[in-house]
Amino acid sequence: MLDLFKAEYARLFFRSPLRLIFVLGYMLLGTWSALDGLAWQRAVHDAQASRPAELLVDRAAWTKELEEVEAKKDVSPRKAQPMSLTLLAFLPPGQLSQLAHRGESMYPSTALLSGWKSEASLFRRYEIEGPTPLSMVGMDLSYLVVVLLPPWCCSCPPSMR
Amino acid sequence: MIGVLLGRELGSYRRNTRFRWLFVLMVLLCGLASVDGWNRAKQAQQTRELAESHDRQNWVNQGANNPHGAAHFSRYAFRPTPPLAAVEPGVWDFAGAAVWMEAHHQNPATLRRAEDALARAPMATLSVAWITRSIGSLALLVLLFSAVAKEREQKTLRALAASGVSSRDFVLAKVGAAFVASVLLTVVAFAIALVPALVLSVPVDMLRLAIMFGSTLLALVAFAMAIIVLSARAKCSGTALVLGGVLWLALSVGVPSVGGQLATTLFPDLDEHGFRASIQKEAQSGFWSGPAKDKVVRELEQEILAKRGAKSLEEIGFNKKGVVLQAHDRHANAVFDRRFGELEALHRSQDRVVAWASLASPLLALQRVSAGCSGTDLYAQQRFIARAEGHRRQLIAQLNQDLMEHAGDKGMKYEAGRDLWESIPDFVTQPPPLQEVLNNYLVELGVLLAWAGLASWLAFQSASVAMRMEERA
Repeated sequence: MLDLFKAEYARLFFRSPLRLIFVLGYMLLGTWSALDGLAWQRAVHDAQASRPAELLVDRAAWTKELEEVEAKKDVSPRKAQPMSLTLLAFLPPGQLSQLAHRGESMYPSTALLSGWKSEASLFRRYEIEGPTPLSMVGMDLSYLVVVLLPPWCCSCPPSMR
Repeated sequence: MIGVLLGRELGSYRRNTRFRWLFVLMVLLCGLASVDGWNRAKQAQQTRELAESHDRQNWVNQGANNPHGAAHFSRYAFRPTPPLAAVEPGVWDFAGAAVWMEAHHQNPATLRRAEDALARAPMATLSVAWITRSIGSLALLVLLFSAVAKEREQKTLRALAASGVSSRDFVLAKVGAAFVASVLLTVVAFAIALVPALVLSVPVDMLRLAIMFGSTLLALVAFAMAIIVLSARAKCSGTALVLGGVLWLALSVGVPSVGGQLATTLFPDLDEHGFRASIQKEAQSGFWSGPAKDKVVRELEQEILAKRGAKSLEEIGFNKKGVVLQAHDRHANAVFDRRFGELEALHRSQDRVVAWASLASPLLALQRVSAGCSGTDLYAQQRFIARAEGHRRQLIAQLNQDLMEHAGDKGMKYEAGRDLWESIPDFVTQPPPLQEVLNNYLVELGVLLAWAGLASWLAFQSASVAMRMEERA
């Protein structure tokens, strides 16, 4: 049984350069897509870990202002307003998102919450991703399996099937 | 003799059921895509005109306001939609359609249409250009994979050789028929693409359309000839079909996907927060709470005084705050030029990677040339952004000038009126001239010519060899 399996395996993959190129090409694309997915996931994690200080209200300073207001000190009515507090909401990448991240860079993964901001400006961000790669339908593992694998299998040399 | 052989070839095409079905499918899809494309382009243009009109109304009817307050309120620059975007949307859906021309800030273009989609489709946007490239080439594959291989299998090639048909006539008939099929597909697709434009009376630049037509024809001829080569060299028609399928998959799906992926691997996108923070630090904090302010303000002051032949701002009644605000814009603009220049260069580098990837695929080269001719490529987008930024600087400078000259002692309590708002011109831009577009796509045009020429020569050679072998047999 094992010998049969080995013989079949050798026939399928090692006796024709064309078949080998097919399999190696697909494996190469798969590895590249997987590594790219991991790099993307890591980049999102890193970006979310480094909180943009310029967007967030200094919570310690705000608390100090609140204490001054409660102590009935003569402070500006603009101080310690709950509306001024800002929060950064995160959407961390899913556990297996590295397998299907194509086009995700276009969508925001953070939202700045503030009483002064309306829903329309929640996701206001710089849309700086390159339009050319975005329009090229890039690859990830799910794309390789769902879109490329079926025609790839149908197109592989007939003797392989 | 060649006429007879050509007629025989075209007759066999007519009888090919699979080709007929694919042709009908292509026609139907082209019709749907054409109606949808023109409708989308029309809607985009109407939305833009409406938004522009509202923006102008808001601007001129804002009432009495301080010019600097108005500069923060400011206006939007909306990207025009060129008519041929209906045929080839290019990168249009993936690039921002509007720029907020705010004081102190160069804002990147926003409102990408692709973000409104519920989910990203695995394929590109359905457009006439995409269908012609993908389904058209598939139809040619179905039509031509057996062109030589089947003749050999059925021994008709030997019979032709025995009956005295020269290999030259045989090859010319095969290549000529493939060319006729490519022309037919291209003509039908472009005719369908143009019908809604004629019905809607949309003016179309015929020269651009002619270049798109020529490029499409070259790409389809290149693909058709490559299939003839495979058909002549493969052992049987089944193998020719399989190899042709691999070629189609690689050229229409594989190379564009790999090219896009390679572009971001070699030139990764910038981190949005980091980019924004660096601009904030250099353009805003660097001026307002850094050392740059005094120097830039002094320089601008000296410039104004030299121009007016005065010794002090008070002497000419200039408001100092207005001078400081204009000085900041001058300082910030240098930062924007540098930072956004880097971003623009990065996007161009990504685009160049895809341009070089088109060496491996005439269909990708065709896509790029079509997008350029339609005015929906990266170059057109960057040109729009540059024009919008130029307009922003002019608008803000005009408002600062008014503040400097008329605010006097009132400072920020000074209010201007409708006359000032109306004196500010609307944002107007034109698509890039055709000459510039063609200069940008020399590589791709060269790729199309090279593929078509090389594939035709190989088809000629391969079919000749196949015929000679049968003659010898």
